[in-house]
Parts: sequence; C-alpha cells; structure tokens
Amino acid sequence: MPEVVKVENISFAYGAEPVFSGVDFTIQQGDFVAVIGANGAGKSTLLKILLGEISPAGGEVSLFGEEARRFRDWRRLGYLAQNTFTNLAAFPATAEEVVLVNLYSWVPFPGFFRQREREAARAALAEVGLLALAKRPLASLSGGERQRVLLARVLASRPELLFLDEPTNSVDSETVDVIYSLLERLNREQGLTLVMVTHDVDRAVRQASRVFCLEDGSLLELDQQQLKEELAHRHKHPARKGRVD
Amino acid sequence: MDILQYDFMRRALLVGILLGLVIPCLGVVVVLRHLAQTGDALSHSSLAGIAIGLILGLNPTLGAMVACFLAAMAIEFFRHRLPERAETGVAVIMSAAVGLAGVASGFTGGFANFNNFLFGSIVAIGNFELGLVVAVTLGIFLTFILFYRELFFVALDEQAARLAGVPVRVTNFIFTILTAASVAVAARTVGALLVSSLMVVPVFAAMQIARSYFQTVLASAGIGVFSSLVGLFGSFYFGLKPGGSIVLSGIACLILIVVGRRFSKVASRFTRKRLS
Repeated sequence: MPEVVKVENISFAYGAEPVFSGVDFTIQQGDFVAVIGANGAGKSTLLKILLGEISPAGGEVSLFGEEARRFRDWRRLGYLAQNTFTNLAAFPATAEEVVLVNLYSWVPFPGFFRQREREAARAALAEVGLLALAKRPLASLSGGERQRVLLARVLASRPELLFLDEPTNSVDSETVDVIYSLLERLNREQGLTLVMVTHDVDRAVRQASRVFCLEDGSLLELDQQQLKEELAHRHKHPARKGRVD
Repeated sequence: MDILQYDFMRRALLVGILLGLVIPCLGVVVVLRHLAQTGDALSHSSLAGIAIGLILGLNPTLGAMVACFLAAMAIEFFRHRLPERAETGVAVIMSAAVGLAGVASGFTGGFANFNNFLFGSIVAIGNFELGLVVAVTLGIFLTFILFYRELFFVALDEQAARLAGVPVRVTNFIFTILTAASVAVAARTVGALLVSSLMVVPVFAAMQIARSYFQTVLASAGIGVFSSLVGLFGSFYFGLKPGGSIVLSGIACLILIVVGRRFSKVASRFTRKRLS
C-alpha cells in the first residue's frame, strides 16, 4: 500500500513547555488510525502539524511523498475540525451552500458553481442522510445535523485522506452511529485513509485498524493486549521513545 | 416628482442607491466575521484623512481614502503578525485616528466644514465626488461579485477555506481594501460616524428574514437601498439631515422586521392551537 503520511522524529513545545518529542510513524493508504490520549497530551497539535497549520520544532512530515511545508494539493485532503458546528449555529447559510463551497477548487477563478458541483454537494448530503434538509438554514438544524453537514462538506470533494478532530464530540448518539458507520464504509469500500483524534477509547478500539496513544510526551502504537488494557484503564506506555522529561 | 426636479437630489439619490447597495454587501462579511470594530476604526480613520485633506487644501474624500488605506494596512499587519492581539490593535488604530482627527480639526479653518463629514452631506455632492463615488462603488460591487465564493468561504470557516485552496491572505487583503474604499467614499456623503451603521444595520435586519447566505446578501442590499431612498425622501420633505435619516430608516426597517416576525410567530401558534 502506498505511504500517505510519513512522520519522522518530530517534536513540539509551547515556549519552554515540551508537548511531545521523538514521534515517528507512517500511515498507509486505507488505514483507519485513531489517536487517543488525555486532555492536553497534544493530539490536536499533532493533527495541526500534519496539516501544516503549525510547524514542528524538529523533524519532518511528508504527505503523499511530499514535504508537508511544500504540500499544496489540498484537494487530496479533508479536515473536520473540532466543534466547528457549534460556531456555525447562527451563520445564515443553507446546508447545501455550506457543502457546495468546499468544491471551490473544482471551478477556476473567477467562476460560479455549476450543475456538476451542485449535484456533488447534494450527493454528499445524501451520503450523511440529510438530502431532505439541503435547503434548510443551519440555524434550524440540530447540533448533530450540523456536524453531519460539515462531514458532508469534507466528503463532497472526495478526499483521499481525511483528518478528523473529535468528530463525535458533543453530538447525539444517533449522529455518532451515522458518522462512524459512514466512515467505516468509506474506509472499507473506497479505501479512504482516516486519521481521527478522539477521546472515545471504546470507539477507537472498535472502529480503527490502528490505535496510537499520545501520552507523557511520546506516541506509541498499541497492540491488541495494550488495547485491552487501555479499555480497562490500566495502560501504561511500556516503552517510551524520546520521552519528554 | 418634486424631488427629481433638483439636480442635487438626483445626484444624492444616485449616490444613496449605490452606497446603499454596496456597503451592506460588504457588511454581510463584516458582520459574519465579527469585524464591526474594523468598520468603526476605518470610519474614524477617514475623519483624520478628511481633516488633513482640508488643512492641505486637497479633496477631503481623497484624504479619507488615503487614511483608510493606511489604517487598513495597519489592521492587516496586526491580523497577520499578531493575530492574538488584533482586536487591541484595531482599538489602538481607532484611538490614534480619533486623536489625530481631533487635533487636525482645530486647523481646518471652519468647524462647520469638518462637521459636514461627521454626519454627511449627501445633498452637496460635486461632479468630481459623484464620479469618484460611481467609479469606486461599481469597482467594489464588481470585485465583490468576482470574489463572492472566496468571501463567503472565508467568512464561514477560514481554516477550511485555506485547505480547500482559497487564497485566504489575498482574499482578506482585497476585503480590507474594499471596506476601506467604501468607508472613504461614504464618509463624505453618509457621514464618517454613520457609515459603519449602514454596514451593520441592514445586514442584521436581513439576517432576521433570510434563509441562506445568498438571500442574506440580496436582502441586505435591498434594505440598504430602501433605507437610503426613504432617508433621502425624508430628508427632502421634512428637512432632516440625510445621513442620520438613512441610518434611522434602516433602524426602522430592523424594528419592523423583528416585530413582524414575532407577530407572525404568535399568529401562526394561535392558528395552530385553534385548528387543533
């Protein structure tokens, strides 16, 4: 399987406060990776480094074989940020408008969206089960429905690699089931590579093909025995590579 | 109509319609990005430019444009280099502009002249200013349409816009320049102290009734033009100050829409109860 993400010996610190160091891993096409860890362990920071939002203090990150700093082929990536749906509660836009705008790169500047983009946006809304609400304003949707609209937004552009930051945080259980079953299907049927930061260890173990744990400044991929211990809250890193003291 | 017999009123109506159309369009992005303070800072900066223009014997509207562009550049600098202090930076720029305008106004040789720019003098527009307003507002409108998708996406979610390939820095820069230009040309006509109201009030009224972003833009522009016309008619027939009348017309629209919506909600609840 081709290598989609390669991380070599990266470290990060907020000022003098180290967050993590010596982080190495590779992600192959079709992997479903869950990153777990306590609050403040640096999970979202790690995601932002992978996205090129922030630069690591040291080390290298490459996406699809290209150095992350130089990577510009954003249409191959999707990113569902944490809790964005709560900020959009009062934004005056329909579900369809929100999904459609992510197909920006499909129409060269200056231009307007055409039938092809509208159909793709509606197909993405159908995929998350919200086609009937396409013309409804965001303000009239529940928090869970807004989160599904945002998932439709990132899926509409058909990314090869999808980053998700706590995708089921603060949403109802129905939405949690819809989101996970859709992600599982896209991963299985279309080979979509998924990297998901989550607090939900139980879901991470059930859904993901690989589970990384970020703890005490180091990242470790957990094996089956460690996953069982993690579920029982007994996990401790047995080996710490490049631990931050 | 009596009002159209006068050349100065025909000019005022044309300027009112153009500003009423363009300023609320930009206002949609200003409101959705929580940048109302930026509009205020630019309008106060225009006062400093107007005062310096009057002192140097230059056209005050050109002075306002230069001051607004400089202030816009300073705001962009804060937003980029010190994003966590951008709000404070905008407040500092506004304070500096007000201070400069206050000092410079003492040398403008006639308070009445400077006072016209505080609350506007839409009915005293010369040929040069008319040409400037028409050229600038049409330029702004065209650029707004060309960058419609970019401005919408950046207002919705800047981070997602960047990942989707939107040139966010360029879009932000263009938006700031458009806002500065609109504030500068409106300062002479609507008034520097009132221009930010024209940027915010029609948008807030539109958001009460619109069901999409596109409808919000259309309704904001519609309410902006309607407020301008009502304000100018009121000013002509009742001898009111035009800038203030335009803003108060917008406020009246907002109140009517809010009350109307509340009334229709109560009425539909009552009808539903009766039917059940």
